[in-house]
Amino acid sequence: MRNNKQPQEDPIRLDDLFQLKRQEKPDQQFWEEFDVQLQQKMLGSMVDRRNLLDRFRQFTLRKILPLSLAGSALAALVVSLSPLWKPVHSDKPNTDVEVAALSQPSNTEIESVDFHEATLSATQVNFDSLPEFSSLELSVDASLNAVYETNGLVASSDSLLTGIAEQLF
Amino acid sequence: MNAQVLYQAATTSFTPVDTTDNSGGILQGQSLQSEDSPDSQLIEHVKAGHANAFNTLVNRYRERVFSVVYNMTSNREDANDVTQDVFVKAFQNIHRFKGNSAFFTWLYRIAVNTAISFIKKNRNRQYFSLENLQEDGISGKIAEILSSRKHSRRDILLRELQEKLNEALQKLSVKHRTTVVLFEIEGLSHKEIGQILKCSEGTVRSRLHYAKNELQNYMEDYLRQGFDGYNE
Repeated sequence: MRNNKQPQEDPIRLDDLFQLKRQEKPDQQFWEEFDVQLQQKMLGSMVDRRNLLDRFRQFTLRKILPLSLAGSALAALVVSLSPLWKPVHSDKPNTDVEVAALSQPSNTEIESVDFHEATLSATQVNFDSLPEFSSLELSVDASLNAVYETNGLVASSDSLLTGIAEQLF
Repeated sequence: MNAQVLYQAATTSFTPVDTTDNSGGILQGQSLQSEDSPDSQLIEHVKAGHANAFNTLVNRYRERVFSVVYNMTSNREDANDVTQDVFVKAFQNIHRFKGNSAFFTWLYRIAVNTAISFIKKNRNRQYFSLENLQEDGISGKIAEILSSRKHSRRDILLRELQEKLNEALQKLSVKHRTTVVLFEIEGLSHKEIGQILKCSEGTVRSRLHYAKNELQNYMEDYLRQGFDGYNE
Protein backbone atom coordinates (compact mmCIF):
# COMPACT_ATOMS: atom_id res chain seq x y z
CA MET A 1 0.00 0.00 0.00
CA ARG A 2 1.37 3.37 -1.01
CA ASN A 3 0.32 5.46 1.93
CA ASN A 4 -1.90 4.62 4.83
CA LYS A 5 -1.71 7.97 6.49
CA GLN A 6 -4.61 10.36 6.29
CA PRO A 7 -4.12 13.34 4.03
CA GLN A 8 -3.54 16.64 5.70
CA GLU A 9 -6.68 18.54 6.59
CA ASP A 10 -5.58 21.60 4.68
CA PRO A 11 -3.43 20.40 1.82
CA ILE A 12 -1.12 22.64 -0.11
CA ARG A 13 -2.82 24.22 -3.07
CA LEU A 14 -1.41 25.13 -6.43
CA ASP A 15 -1.49 28.80 -5.50
CA ASP A 16 0.83 28.08 -2.58
CA LEU A 17 3.27 26.53 -5.00
CA PHE A 18 3.09 29.54 -7.31
CA GLN A 19 3.79 31.72 -4.32
CA LEU A 20 6.82 29.54 -3.63
CA LYS A 21 7.90 29.88 -7.22
CA ARG A 22 7.83 33.67 -6.96
CA GLN A 23 10.49 33.41 -4.28
CA GLU A 24 13.04 31.87 -6.62
CA LYS A 25 15.22 34.91 -7.09
CA PRO A 26 18.88 35.43 -7.88
CA ASP A 27 21.09 37.12 -5.35
CA GLN A 28 22.99 40.39 -5.76
CA GLN A 29 26.18 38.70 -6.92
CA PHE A 30 24.27 37.17 -9.79
CA TRP A 31 23.19 40.62 -10.98
CA GLU A 32 26.70 41.99 -10.75
CA GLU A 33 27.93 39.22 -13.02
CA PHE A 34 24.89 39.69 -15.20
CA ASP A 35 25.72 43.37 -15.73
CA VAL A 36 29.30 42.59 -16.69
CA GLN A 37 28.26 39.87 -19.13
CA LEU A 38 25.52 42.02 -20.62
CA GLN A 39 27.96 44.86 -21.11
CA GLN A 40 30.31 42.55 -22.98
CA LYS A 41 27.50 41.18 -25.11
CA MET A 42 26.26 44.63 -26.04
CA LEU A 43 29.73 45.82 -26.89
CA GLY A 44 30.30 42.68 -28.91
CA SER A 45 27.05 43.13 -30.79
CA MET A 46 27.91 46.75 -31.59
CA VAL A 47 31.37 45.81 -32.79
CA ASP A 48 29.95 42.91 -34.79
CA ARG A 49 27.43 45.20 -36.38
CA ARG A 50 30.14 47.68 -37.27
CA ASN A 51 32.31 44.89 -38.68
CA LEU A 52 29.38 43.63 -40.69
CA LEU A 53 28.85 47.09 -42.18
CA ASP A 54 32.56 47.38 -42.92
CA ARG A 55 32.65 43.97 -44.54
CA PHE A 56 29.64 44.84 -46.64
CA ARG A 57 31.25 48.11 -47.71
CA GLN A 58 34.50 46.39 -48.57
CA PHE A 59 32.70 43.63 -50.42
CA THR A 60 30.79 46.23 -52.39
CA LEU A 61 33.94 48.15 -53.26
CA ARG A 62 36.05 45.13 -54.11
CA LYS A 63 33.61 42.81 -55.82
CA ILE A 64 30.34 44.37 -56.81
CA LEU A 65 31.62 47.73 -58.01
CA PRO A 66 34.24 46.36 -60.45
CA LEU A 67 31.77 43.77 -61.67
CA SER A 68 29.07 46.32 -62.25
CA LEU A 69 31.52 48.65 -63.97
CA ALA A 70 32.72 45.85 -66.23
CA GLY A 71 29.12 44.86 -66.92
CA SER A 72 28.21 48.43 -67.78
CA ALA A 73 31.19 48.75 -70.10
CA LEU A 74 30.30 45.48 -71.79
CA ALA A 75 26.71 46.54 -72.19
CA ALA A 76 27.82 49.87 -73.69
CA LEU A 77 30.11 48.03 -76.09
CA VAL A 78 27.34 45.68 -77.14
CA VAL A 79 24.96 48.55 -77.73
CA SER A 80 27.51 50.51 -79.74
CA LEU A 81 28.47 47.51 -81.91
CA SER A 82 25.02 46.07 -82.41
CA PRO A 83 24.28 47.93 -85.74
CA LEU A 84 27.39 46.35 -87.30
CA TRP A 85 26.24 42.83 -86.63
CA LYS A 86 23.19 42.86 -88.89
CA PRO A 87 24.62 43.00 -92.43
CA VAL A 88 26.45 40.13 -94.08
CA HIS A 89 29.09 41.45 -96.46
CA SER A 90 29.86 39.86 -99.79
CA ASP A 91 33.00 40.09 -101.84
CA LYS A 92 31.27 41.45 -104.90
CA PRO A 93 29.50 44.71 -104.29
CA ASN A 94 26.26 44.76 -106.11
CA THR A 95 24.60 48.08 -106.49
CA ASP A 96 21.91 46.91 -108.76
CA VAL A 97 18.53 46.26 -107.37
CA GLU A 98 17.60 42.75 -108.20
CA VAL A 99 14.15 41.42 -108.18
CA ALA A 100 13.60 37.75 -107.96
CA ALA A 101 10.35 36.01 -107.98
CA LEU A 102 10.69 33.01 -105.81
CA SER A 103 7.88 30.63 -105.87
CA GLN A 104 8.57 27.09 -104.90
CA PRO A 105 6.25 24.12 -105.04
CA SER A 106 4.90 23.21 -101.67
CA ASN A 107 6.64 19.87 -101.64
CA THR A 108 10.08 21.36 -102.25
CA GLU A 109 12.35 21.77 -99.30
CA ILE A 110 14.05 25.13 -99.20
CA GLU A 111 17.31 25.19 -97.35
CA SER A 112 18.64 28.62 -98.14
CA VAL A 113 17.98 31.60 -100.30
CA ASP A 114 20.86 33.76 -101.43
CA PHE A 115 19.54 37.06 -102.55
CA HIS A 116 22.79 37.93 -104.30
CA GLU A 117 22.46 35.10 -106.74
CA ALA A 118 19.03 36.10 -107.81
CA THR A 119 18.90 37.08 -111.41
CA LEU A 120 16.04 39.48 -111.25
CA SER A 121 16.24 43.09 -110.25
CA ALA A 122 14.47 42.51 -106.98
CA THR A 123 13.92 39.58 -104.69
CA GLN A 124 10.39 38.77 -103.76
CA VAL A 125 9.50 36.02 -101.41
CA ASN A 126 6.02 34.69 -101.69
CA PHE A 127 5.36 33.34 -98.25
CA ASP A 128 2.05 31.81 -99.17
CA SER A 129 3.71 29.46 -101.56
CA LEU A 130 6.47 28.42 -99.20
CA PRO A 131 6.18 24.97 -97.67
CA GLU A 132 6.73 24.20 -94.02
CA PHE A 133 10.42 24.17 -93.40
CA SER A 134 12.68 23.79 -90.47
CA SER A 135 15.12 26.57 -91.22
CA LEU A 136 15.62 29.29 -93.72
CA GLU A 137 18.73 31.34 -94.22
CA LEU A 138 18.28 34.74 -95.70
CA SER A 139 20.96 37.28 -96.35
CA VAL A 140 20.77 40.75 -97.72
CA ASP A 141 23.85 42.65 -98.74
CA ALA A 142 24.42 45.83 -96.85
CA SER A 143 25.45 47.47 -100.01
CA LEU A 144 21.89 46.96 -101.17
CA ASN A 145 20.86 49.84 -99.14
CA ALA A 146 18.52 50.79 -101.85
CA VAL A 147 14.86 50.75 -101.63
CA TYR A 148 13.10 47.52 -102.41
CA GLU A 149 9.73 47.72 -103.90
CA THR A 150 7.59 44.68 -103.49
CA ASN A 151 3.89 44.53 -103.98
CA GLY A 152 3.64 48.25 -103.70
CA LEU A 153 5.43 48.35 -100.36
CA VAL A 154 8.60 50.30 -100.06
CA ALA A 155 11.07 48.81 -97.61
CA SER A 156 14.72 48.99 -96.81
CA SER A 157 16.85 45.89 -96.44
CA ASP A 158 16.50 46.04 -92.64
CA SER A 159 12.77 46.21 -92.62
CA LEU A 160 12.60 43.50 -95.23
CA LEU A 161 14.58 41.18 -92.98
CA THR A 162 12.42 42.09 -90.03
CA GLY A 163 9.30 41.37 -91.99
CA ILE A 164 10.61 38.02 -93.10
CA ALA A 165 11.56 37.10 -89.56
CA GLU A 166 8.12 38.05 -88.26
CA GLN A 167 6.47 35.95 -90.90
CA LEU A 168 8.63 32.99 -90.08
CA PHE A 169 8.42 33.08 -86.34
CA MET B 1 41.95 46.57 -26.77
CA ASN B 2 39.65 46.65 -23.78
CA ALA B 3 35.90 46.70 -23.81
CA GLN B 4 35.56 50.39 -23.11
CA VAL B 5 37.77 51.38 -26.00
CA LEU B 6 35.88 49.00 -28.26
CA TYR B 7 32.66 50.60 -27.16
CA GLN B 8 33.95 54.07 -27.93
CA ALA B 9 35.21 52.93 -31.30
CA ALA B 10 31.90 51.33 -32.12
CA THR B 11 29.67 54.15 -31.04
CA THR B 12 31.11 57.53 -31.75
CA SER B 13 27.74 59.22 -31.45
CA PHE B 14 27.07 57.94 -27.96
CA THR B 15 27.73 59.70 -24.73
CA PRO B 16 31.43 59.77 -23.89
CA VAL B 17 32.51 56.97 -21.63
CA ASP B 18 34.32 57.40 -18.39
CA THR B 19 36.96 54.71 -18.66
CA THR B 20 38.24 55.22 -15.15
CA ASP B 21 34.93 54.35 -13.55
CA ASN B 22 34.22 50.64 -13.37
CA SER B 23 31.37 50.88 -10.96
CA GLY B 24 28.71 51.75 -13.50
CA GLY B 25 26.33 49.59 -15.38
CA ILE B 26 26.19 48.52 -18.96
CA LEU B 27 26.80 51.79 -20.70
CA GLN B 28 28.30 54.36 -18.43
CA GLY B 29 28.31 58.04 -19.06
CA GLN B 30 26.95 61.25 -17.71
CA SER B 31 23.38 60.57 -16.83
CA LEU B 32 20.82 62.71 -18.63
CA GLN B 33 17.92 61.27 -16.71
CA SER B 34 17.05 60.09 -13.25
CA GLU B 35 16.10 56.60 -12.16
CA ASP B 36 12.52 57.82 -11.87
CA SER B 37 12.26 59.01 -15.45
CA PRO B 38 9.33 57.45 -17.28
CA ASP B 39 10.07 54.75 -19.80
CA SER B 40 9.05 56.92 -22.72
CA GLN B 41 11.59 59.58 -21.80
CA LEU B 42 14.37 57.04 -21.39
CA ILE B 43 13.50 55.47 -24.72
CA GLU B 44 13.68 58.83 -26.45
CA HIS B 45 17.10 59.35 -24.92
CA VAL B 46 18.27 55.96 -26.15
CA LYS B 47 16.90 56.68 -29.61
CA ALA B 48 18.74 60.00 -29.58
CA GLY B 49 21.98 58.12 -29.04
CA HIS B 50 22.36 58.32 -25.27
CA ALA B 51 22.94 54.66 -24.68
CA ASN B 52 23.41 55.10 -20.95
CA ALA B 53 19.67 55.69 -20.67
CA PHE B 54 19.23 52.08 -21.64
CA ASN B 55 21.10 51.12 -18.51
CA THR B 56 18.28 52.53 -16.43
CA LEU B 57 15.78 50.49 -18.40
CA VAL B 58 17.86 47.35 -17.88
CA ASN B 59 18.02 47.94 -14.14
CA ARG B 60 14.31 48.54 -14.06
CA TYR B 61 13.23 45.41 -15.92
CA ARG B 62 16.02 42.87 -15.67
CA GLU B 63 14.52 40.98 -12.73
CA ARG B 64 11.11 40.69 -14.32
CA VAL B 65 12.52 39.63 -17.66
CA PHE B 66 14.80 37.13 -15.97
CA SER B 67 11.89 35.77 -13.97
CA VAL B 68 9.80 35.14 -17.09
CA VAL B 69 12.64 33.43 -18.90
CA TYR B 70 13.76 31.47 -15.85
CA ASN B 71 10.28 30.16 -15.14
CA MET B 72 9.90 29.14 -18.77
CA THR B 73 13.24 27.34 -18.95
CA SER B 74 13.72 26.23 -15.31
CA ASN B 75 17.42 26.75 -15.79
CA ARG B 76 19.20 29.73 -14.28
CA GLU B 77 22.22 29.64 -16.63
CA ASP B 78 20.02 29.47 -19.71
CA ALA B 79 17.82 32.19 -18.29
CA ASN B 80 20.88 34.33 -17.69
CA ASP B 81 21.99 34.01 -21.33
CA VAL B 82 18.53 34.46 -22.78
CA THR B 83 17.82 37.50 -20.62
CA GLN B 84 21.01 39.13 -21.84
CA ASP B 85 20.04 38.34 -25.41
CA VAL B 86 16.65 39.92 -24.78
CA PHE B 87 18.22 43.21 -23.72
CA VAL B 88 20.69 43.17 -26.59
CA LYS B 89 17.81 42.65 -29.01
CA ALA B 90 15.77 45.36 -27.33
CA PHE B 91 18.68 47.79 -27.60
CA GLN B 92 19.32 46.98 -31.23
CA ASN B 93 15.65 47.32 -32.15
CA ILE B 94 14.55 50.13 -29.90
CA HIS B 95 14.05 52.40 -32.92
CA ARG B 96 11.22 50.04 -33.89
CA PHE B 97 9.38 50.67 -30.64
CA LYS B 98 6.67 53.15 -31.60
CA GLY B 99 5.05 53.49 -28.20
CA ASN B 100 1.80 51.83 -29.24
CA SER B 101 2.04 49.62 -26.17
CA ALA B 102 3.80 49.88 -22.85
CA PHE B 103 7.54 49.38 -23.04
CA PHE B 104 7.43 46.40 -20.69
CA THR B 105 4.80 44.74 -22.92
CA TRP B 106 7.16 45.15 -25.87
CA LEU B 107 10.08 43.90 -23.79
CA TYR B 108 8.09 40.94 -22.46
CA ARG B 109 7.16 40.04 -26.01
CA ILE B 110 10.83 39.94 -26.97
CA ALA B 111 11.56 37.91 -23.84
CA VAL B 112 8.81 35.38 -24.48
CA ASN B 113 9.70 35.00 -28.16
CA THR B 114 13.40 34.64 -27.41
CA ALA B 115 12.71 32.10 -24.68
CA ILE B 116 10.38 30.09 -26.91
CA SER B 117 13.00 30.05 -29.68
CA PHE B 118 15.59 28.91 -27.18
CA ILE B 119 13.35 26.16 -25.81
CA LYS B 120 12.51 24.89 -29.29
CA LYS B 121 16.16 24.94 -30.30
CA ASN B 122 17.20 23.02 -27.19
CA ARG B 123 14.23 20.73 -26.97
CA ASN B 124 16.35 17.68 -26.29
CA ARG B 125 18.65 19.31 -23.80
CA GLN B 126 16.62 19.81 -20.68
CA TYR B 127 17.88 19.90 -17.16
CA PHE B 128 17.03 21.95 -14.15
CA SER B 129 19.27 24.49 -12.55
CA LEU B 130 17.15 26.17 -9.97
CA GLU B 131 17.49 29.46 -8.19
CA ASN B 132 17.75 29.70 -4.45
CA LEU B 133 14.50 30.21 -2.64
CA GLN B 134 14.21 33.28 -0.50
CA GLU B 135 12.56 31.74 2.53
CA ASP B 136 11.66 34.99 4.18
CA GLY B 137 9.25 35.66 1.31
CA ILE B 138 7.37 32.40 1.79
CA SER B 139 4.05 32.70 3.52
CA GLY B 140 0.77 30.83 3.80
CA LYS B 141 0.40 27.12 4.10
CA ILE B 142 3.92 26.26 3.05
CA ALA B 143 5.36 28.61 5.66
CA GLU B 144 3.24 26.91 8.30
CA ILE B 145 4.47 23.49 7.29
CA LEU B 146 8.06 24.65 7.15
CA SER B 147 7.88 26.16 10.59
CA SER B 148 7.01 22.77 12.03
CA ARG B 149 10.01 21.09 10.44
CA LYS B 150 13.55 20.81 11.58
CA HIS B 151 15.92 23.01 9.66
CA SER B 152 17.60 20.21 7.70
CA ARG B 153 14.30 18.64 6.68
CA ARG B 154 12.90 22.02 5.78
CA ASP B 155 15.59 22.58 3.18
CA ILE B 156 15.04 19.14 1.67
CA LEU B 157 11.31 19.65 1.55
CA LEU B 158 11.61 23.05 -0.07
CA ARG B 159 14.05 21.78 -2.65
CA GLU B 160 11.83 18.87 -3.48
CA LEU B 161 8.76 21.07 -3.79
CA GLN B 162 10.70 23.40 -6.05
CA GLU B 163 11.84 20.57 -8.28
CA LYS B 164 8.41 19.01 -8.50
CA LEU B 165 6.78 22.27 -9.46
CA ASN B 166 9.40 23.00 -12.11
CA GLU B 167 9.07 19.47 -13.41
CA ALA B 168 5.32 19.89 -13.66
CA LEU B 169 5.71 23.23 -15.43
CA GLN B 170 8.06 21.68 -17.96
CA LYS B 171 5.45 19.05 -18.80
CA LEU B 172 3.13 21.77 -20.06
CA SER B 173 3.29 22.88 -23.65
CA VAL B 174 5.26 26.06 -24.23
CA LYS B 175 2.19 28.21 -24.82
CA HIS B 176 0.43 26.92 -21.69
CA ARG B 177 3.58 27.27 -19.64
CA THR B 178 4.08 30.82 -20.84
CA THR B 179 0.51 31.75 -19.98
CA VAL B 180 0.76 30.29 -16.48
CA VAL B 181 4.10 31.98 -15.85
CA LEU B 182 2.88 35.38 -16.99
CA PHE B 183 -0.37 35.19 -15.04
CA GLU B 184 0.40 33.25 -11.87
CA ILE B 185 4.01 34.21 -11.29
CA GLU B 186 4.45 37.55 -13.03
CA GLY B 187 1.00 38.74 -12.09
CA LEU B 188 0.06 40.17 -15.49
CA SER B 189 -3.55 40.67 -16.47
CA HIS B 190 -5.34 38.64 -19.12
CA LYS B 191 -5.31 41.67 -21.37
CA GLU B 192 -1.56 42.19 -21.02
CA ILE B 193 -0.88 38.53 -21.66
CA GLY B 194 -3.09 38.68 -24.73
CA GLN B 195 -1.06 41.61 -26.02
CA ILE B 196 2.23 39.85 -25.37
CA LEU B 197 1.18 36.53 -26.85
CA LYS B 198 -0.93 38.17 -29.56
CA CYS B 199 -4.07 36.26 -28.72
CA SER B 200 -7.48 37.10 -27.29
CA GLU B 201 -8.28 37.32 -23.58
CA GLY B 202 -10.59 34.36 -24.04
CA THR B 203 -7.72 32.30 -25.34
CA VAL B 204 -5.61 33.35 -22.37
CA ARG B 205 -8.35 32.29 -19.94
CA SER B 206 -8.82 29.02 -21.74
CA ARG B 207 -5.11 28.24 -21.69
CA LEU B 208 -4.87 29.15 -18.04
CA HIS B 209 -7.75 26.90 -17.10
CA TYR B 210 -6.31 23.99 -19.01
CA ALA B 211 -2.76 24.54 -17.74
CA LYS B 212 -3.80 24.76 -14.10
CA ASN B 213 -5.82 21.58 -14.39
CA GLU B 214 -2.83 19.84 -15.87
CA LEU B 215 -0.53 21.12 -13.15
CA GLN B 216 -3.02 20.04 -10.51
CA ASN B 217 -3.05 16.55 -11.97
CA TYR B 218 0.72 16.36 -12.18
CA MET B 219 1.17 17.55 -8.61
CA GLU B 220 -1.77 15.86 -6.94
CA ASP B 221 -0.12 12.57 -6.11
CA TYR B 222 3.02 14.21 -4.86
CA LEU B 223 1.21 16.70 -2.68
CA ARG B 224 -0.93 13.99 -1.15
CA GLN B 225 1.83 11.55 -0.36
CA GLY B 226 4.86 13.77 -0.22
CA PHE B 227 3.72 15.99 2.60
CA ASP B 228 2.29 13.07 4.54
CA GLY B 229 5.68 11.47 4.26
CA TYR B 230 7.26 14.51 5.86
CA ASN B 231 4.81 14.67 8.74
CA GLU B 232 6.55 14.30 12.01
